[in-house]
Amino acid sequence: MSALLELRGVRAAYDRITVLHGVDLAVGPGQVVALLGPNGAGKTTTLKVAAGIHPTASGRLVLGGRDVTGAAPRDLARAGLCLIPEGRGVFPNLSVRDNLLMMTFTGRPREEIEEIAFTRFPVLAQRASQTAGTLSGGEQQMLALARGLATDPAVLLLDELSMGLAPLVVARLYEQVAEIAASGVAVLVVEQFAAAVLGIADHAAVLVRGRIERQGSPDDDLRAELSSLYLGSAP
Amino acid sequence: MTNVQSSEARAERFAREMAELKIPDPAAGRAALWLRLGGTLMAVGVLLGVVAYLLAHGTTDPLAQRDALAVGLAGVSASVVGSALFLRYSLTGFLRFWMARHSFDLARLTESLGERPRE
Repeated sequence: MSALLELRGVRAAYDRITVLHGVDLAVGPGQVVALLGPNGAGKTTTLKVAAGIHPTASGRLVLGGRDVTGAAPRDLARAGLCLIPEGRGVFPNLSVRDNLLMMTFTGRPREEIEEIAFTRFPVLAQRASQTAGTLSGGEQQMLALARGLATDPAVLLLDELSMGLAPLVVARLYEQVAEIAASGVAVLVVEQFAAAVLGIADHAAVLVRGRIERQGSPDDDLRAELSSLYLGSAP
Repeated sequence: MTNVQSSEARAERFAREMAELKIPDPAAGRAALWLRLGGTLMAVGVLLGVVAYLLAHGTTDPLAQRDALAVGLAGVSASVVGSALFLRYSLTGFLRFWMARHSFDLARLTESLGERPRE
């Protein structure tokens, strides 16, 4: 099957400031694509464009082979595109169970949603009655992922999964992301800290000042290039 | 094997749903523009009212005063239309949130009723 998510020559701007200058990216089913780059490169904007939240100035958003540029984000979400934003996107004042219950709007029964969440993240079952805001950062991220999985996504967009988390927790989360992708979900991960995601990525792209500077398999050359981009000199 | 088949089926279902997706006319998504227009018209209406008052009191010429009357009426019309637009497009956003909240409360009530032990 061809790519589920494609960005073709996407340009995007905030008012008069152009932040993406012709981004081309494709994610196939079961594939993990890492979009890397320094702060302010346009990574989050790329995800917002992919989710239909931010309009394109030019270029095309193609999902499942169909040009859906300009489609409402809610329609894309209903069809199976799920964005887990930076900052986790959970309701901090609701319990874990209520956070999951909120996802029954998808039409799935509560029992099924909880089974998916608690099977993949057993720690959430132990914290079911706990308020989400009092969970650790890693547990909140697990809850956010579980809420995303409740939508039965075909395309999963993850923004800075590792933000504020310990390396061990990040490694465990990315193991789960790899398993989710193995079930056929197309995963696009935006990360500032490359080491965390390159271990599971099938493909990586480096975004610098709104342009894809390099993309390919996450090999040593790409890692070296990333180091030089982040540090400003050859490694 | 079953996993691969189900993932392919999901991807195909996604592609099918995308193919069937109705992409709305961009004009329908201009709610923010209408909201701003409504707010602006309300402000313009008030401004025209003040201008009309000053015009009417700045002259003893009945013709000029009638012109001021017309300006004042235009102000009232602008305010009414602006208020309607503002209410229409601000209430839509609020009601959408209210409906989401309401459906959540209903789902929670259903859950709690379902969990109550039978006597």
